[in-house]
Amino acid sequence: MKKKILAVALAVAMLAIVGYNTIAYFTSTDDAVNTITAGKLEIAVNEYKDGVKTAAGEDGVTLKFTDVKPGDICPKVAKVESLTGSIDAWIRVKVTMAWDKADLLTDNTVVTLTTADGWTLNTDGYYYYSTKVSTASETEFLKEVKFNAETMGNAYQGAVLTVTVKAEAVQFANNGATVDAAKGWPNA
Amino acid sequence: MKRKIFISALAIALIAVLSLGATVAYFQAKTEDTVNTFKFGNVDGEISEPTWIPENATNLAPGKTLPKDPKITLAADSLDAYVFIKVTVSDAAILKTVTTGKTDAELITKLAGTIDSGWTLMNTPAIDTAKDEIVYIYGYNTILTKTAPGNVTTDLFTAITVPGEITEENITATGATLADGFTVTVKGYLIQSDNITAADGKTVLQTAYTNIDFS
Repeated sequence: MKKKILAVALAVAMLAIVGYNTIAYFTSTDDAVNTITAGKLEIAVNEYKDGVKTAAGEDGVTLKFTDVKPGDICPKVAKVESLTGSIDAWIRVKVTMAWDKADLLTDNTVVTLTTADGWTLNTDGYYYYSTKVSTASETEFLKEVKFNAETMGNAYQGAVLTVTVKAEAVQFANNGATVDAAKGWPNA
Repeated sequence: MKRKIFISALAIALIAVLSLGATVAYFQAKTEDTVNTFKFGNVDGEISEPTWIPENATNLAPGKTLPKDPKITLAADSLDAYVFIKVTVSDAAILKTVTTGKTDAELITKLAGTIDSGWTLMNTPAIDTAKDEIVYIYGYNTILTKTAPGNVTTDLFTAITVPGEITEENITATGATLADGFTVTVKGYLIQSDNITAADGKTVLQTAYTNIDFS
């Protein structure tokens, strides 16, 4: 009987050796943690009067021109700002115009928008900017609004034209070689 | 029934997820509307002749003088303007007869005396024989502004005199009749002064004049 017990004890001892083996190597684990932060895209339209940035009033109107008359050139400077931290973007701008009276025209025979270089009016009614817009930058869009004396008449006396400017942006990276090829515009 | 509702709810959920997925495929942004208003002004004013008393203008004998002082006042809310007065005189044939030696342009002085120096004759007056009338258009040399005293012109003239030569003999000689007397009609015209620049060889006033329809 004693022999048998020894054999078992030996077996246990052997097992112990095996167990020792498992801790022969020092081990260590280390998690390599990667944080992937999605970029943001933020733009704004800034307007300037006489070089001074102008904020919208309580009625939401940024600039108010009064006593306008045929032949006037109104210095309405609008720029598209890419906010700090924003990713590179393609940008486009839509301008809508409406008179407060019927039968008055908003086409370029009456109202002419003078845009800065680099902007092209597309058939969809948007002005597209041909080059990349980077973070923390301002891109001039509109310089002035002209009213044609030749085509306006007394019908325009006392009338009010409301001009609305809205800018849109879409990521530049991995999104087309030109602005025309860019996809994923808002509202598209 | 319950199952049907669940299926349609699932369909809505799928559509919602799918369309959401499409719009956020690219990072995009848009701004709020930026709104500007352009309010157009008015050009407005009125012609007046405070000293003119219509009731006195009847049964006039030759040589009679009546006060008449046409002038234009700009309205308080008007844009700055160039102003013009068109004077239309009827029975021009008779006037011509009694003003021997004067050009058509000078006939007016027989009725109105001296025209104020603040005004410039713009047109080339000539008797319209079909209408038997003659038209004089005067432009005010100074731009009217809405604030006094620059909002009113000088009097174009101060009185109308019935020429002493308008006698029955002379009237008969012209072949015309003067049963209803003659009329002097004054009418004011205004045009914005801004954005009008002198055209080739013309003054700014002349350029403004050519931009008005006086008919």
